[in-house]
Amino acid sequence: MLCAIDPPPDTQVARTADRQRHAAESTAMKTGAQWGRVLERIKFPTYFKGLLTAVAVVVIAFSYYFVANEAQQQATARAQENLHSVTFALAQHIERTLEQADQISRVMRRSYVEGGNYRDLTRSIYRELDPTLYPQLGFINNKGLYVFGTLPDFKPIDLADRKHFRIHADSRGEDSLYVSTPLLGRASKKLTLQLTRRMDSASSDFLGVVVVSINPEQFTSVYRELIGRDGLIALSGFDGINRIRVDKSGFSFGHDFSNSPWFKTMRSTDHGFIDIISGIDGKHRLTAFQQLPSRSLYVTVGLPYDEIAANYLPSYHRYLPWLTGFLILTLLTLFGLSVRTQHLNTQLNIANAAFSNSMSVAVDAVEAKNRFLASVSHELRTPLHGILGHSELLSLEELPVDAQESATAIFRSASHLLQIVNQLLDISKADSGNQELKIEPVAIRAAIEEMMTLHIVTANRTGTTLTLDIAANVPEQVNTDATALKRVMHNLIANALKFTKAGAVKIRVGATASHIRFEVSDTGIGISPENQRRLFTNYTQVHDFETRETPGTGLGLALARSLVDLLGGNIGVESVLGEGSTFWFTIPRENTPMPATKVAS
Amino acid sequence: MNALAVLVVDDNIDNRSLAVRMLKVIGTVCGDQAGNAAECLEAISKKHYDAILMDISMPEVSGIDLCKTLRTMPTQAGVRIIACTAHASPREAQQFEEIGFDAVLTKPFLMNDLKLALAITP
Repeated sequence: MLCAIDPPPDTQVARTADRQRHAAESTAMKTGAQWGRVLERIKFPTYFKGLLTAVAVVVIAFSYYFVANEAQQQATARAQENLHSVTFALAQHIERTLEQADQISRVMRRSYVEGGNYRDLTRSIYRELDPTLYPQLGFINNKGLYVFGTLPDFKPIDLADRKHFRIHADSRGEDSLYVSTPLLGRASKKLTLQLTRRMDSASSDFLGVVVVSINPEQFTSVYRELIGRDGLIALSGFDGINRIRVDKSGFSFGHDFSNSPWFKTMRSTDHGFIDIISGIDGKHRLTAFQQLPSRSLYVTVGLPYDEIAANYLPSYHRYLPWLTGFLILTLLTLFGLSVRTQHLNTQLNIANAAFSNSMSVAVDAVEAKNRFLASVSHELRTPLHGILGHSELLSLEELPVDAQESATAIFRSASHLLQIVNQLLDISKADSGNQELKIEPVAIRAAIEEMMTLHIVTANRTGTTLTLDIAANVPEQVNTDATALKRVMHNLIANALKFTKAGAVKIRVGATASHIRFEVSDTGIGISPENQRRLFTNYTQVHDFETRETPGTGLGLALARSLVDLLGGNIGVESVLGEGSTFWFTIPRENTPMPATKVAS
Repeated sequence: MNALAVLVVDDNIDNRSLAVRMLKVIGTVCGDQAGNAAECLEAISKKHYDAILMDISMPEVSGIDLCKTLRTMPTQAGVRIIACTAHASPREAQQFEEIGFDAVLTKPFLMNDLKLALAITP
């Protein structure tokens, strides 16, 4: 056996290609020039992608946290700078104001202690002062009686119970400026801060208290402009009681916060920052504090955090959450898409595998069928050779008539059997695509006439006329396969003659723009519409074995159909039962073989 | 003209005897037989043959290998070797001719085919 045993050469070619590809790949890896291709081939499993996505999301979340935090800190730092400036300036301002007030009080005290005309002196000093800042100047004697004041309608009143008197009267000769909490002056009827100093005689006897009244609103009003909508300015004593508290709602005082945790912080140093959640308006404020250089007083300036955020945060801070959200969403979407793609790819691979599997099963089946047919053909031919050869030898002998007839019958039967075997092989070849087409210019008229010549004898024997009619527009030559074309013609003519007795078989050839059309008409027995449908099917002959008068396997038409398919044309039949049939087929004028014809090994 | 000496090489005895009988009817000088490659080589060493009818599918040494062997032998330079095979395709026939067969007979063949293959004018 020469055929079908060798491994298909394709396999070897594939193996060689595989080896070459492996070699090429290792070189590529060495040079690093084709890392892209290598990376492309790495398949990340889904859980790894999920891990990457999770890590990326965490990194983004942390980045967001750090960037937002950094922005927050920068904003706070800038706010602190500003707050510190304001606080420092305010502290200086108050210090100066108090210093001035203190100087006035000392001049007044000297005059009083030394027994001078302190009333005139005080009046003349008062005339030079700003009355909105200094509502009045005055003296309290050692009994607590307000003995002199600069108010126009001054009259002595008892202030012995007032703290700004008591603190001096009860002290042991300590000489310092006392700043009272704001109070409604019994003399001035205005909310004022009383700045007081103790007066002592040369022999250290308590003589009374000198009083300088100050309008606290006067020197805080400027700063209110600097601290925004919800800012807070306060002046507080070391005793933890605020003397002045100014916010948007106005002016208040006397709140005791000596028990607050942040008060301790404030007391521990002369300036700094504290966080205060106000017990009065509930606002959370960043608060700067500054001790006055030489007084037991603090200035505090607070700015609410929401205003810091609004005024000091960089503009990008506003978009950060959106940006972060967008990035995370994008990553998650990508991950989702990737998982989806992978899922689809897996399904595609499964489908592909199934497809190529069934393909190879189909190819295997076709190959097995062909091998089987080749083998059967070979095995049938060997005994046929014996039968045909010996019956031929026998017919040459001088035999009795009966024996002679038998020899001839054996020869004829064996010939028929051989014909069937040949047709089976032909159909198998045409159907499996192993038929080789040789497309070349074919002289149509000559080819048909050659086929007619083959059948003239048969036609004459059955009394049938065989005629040929070729239309004028049929080209001399057509590109097609001569053998296949002749085979189809041969089968159709043989078929027509087989079923026609003493009739006419006409062959007509015509042409359309794209095709050449061949017709073989007979005046034979015809085919019923139902049977027409079954024609051209392998192993189908219209007539049942029981009733048929004509020999044949039905393979001729099946083979014709297979060959016409190969040539890229169509085949069909029109018939009326009892009147005859017209078998036709077409082939393209310019033939390009439809199925890629394969060379059988 | 027809007095050719022909050797038939075939492992199948029926085929062999059929060929010999056909040759006899055609009228060649002799139709000697060989059942395998060894017998063939022995036969040609004893006698000169004008033509050899050779089966392809034979056990041990195939007709193809035997033909190739004969083609290397100077003593057999002029011998006409004809393949007799049931392998039917034209492609196979062409392959046999390329290997060195002078003609290919596809089984079943008739006497007329045999005459043509032996290059005897019918």
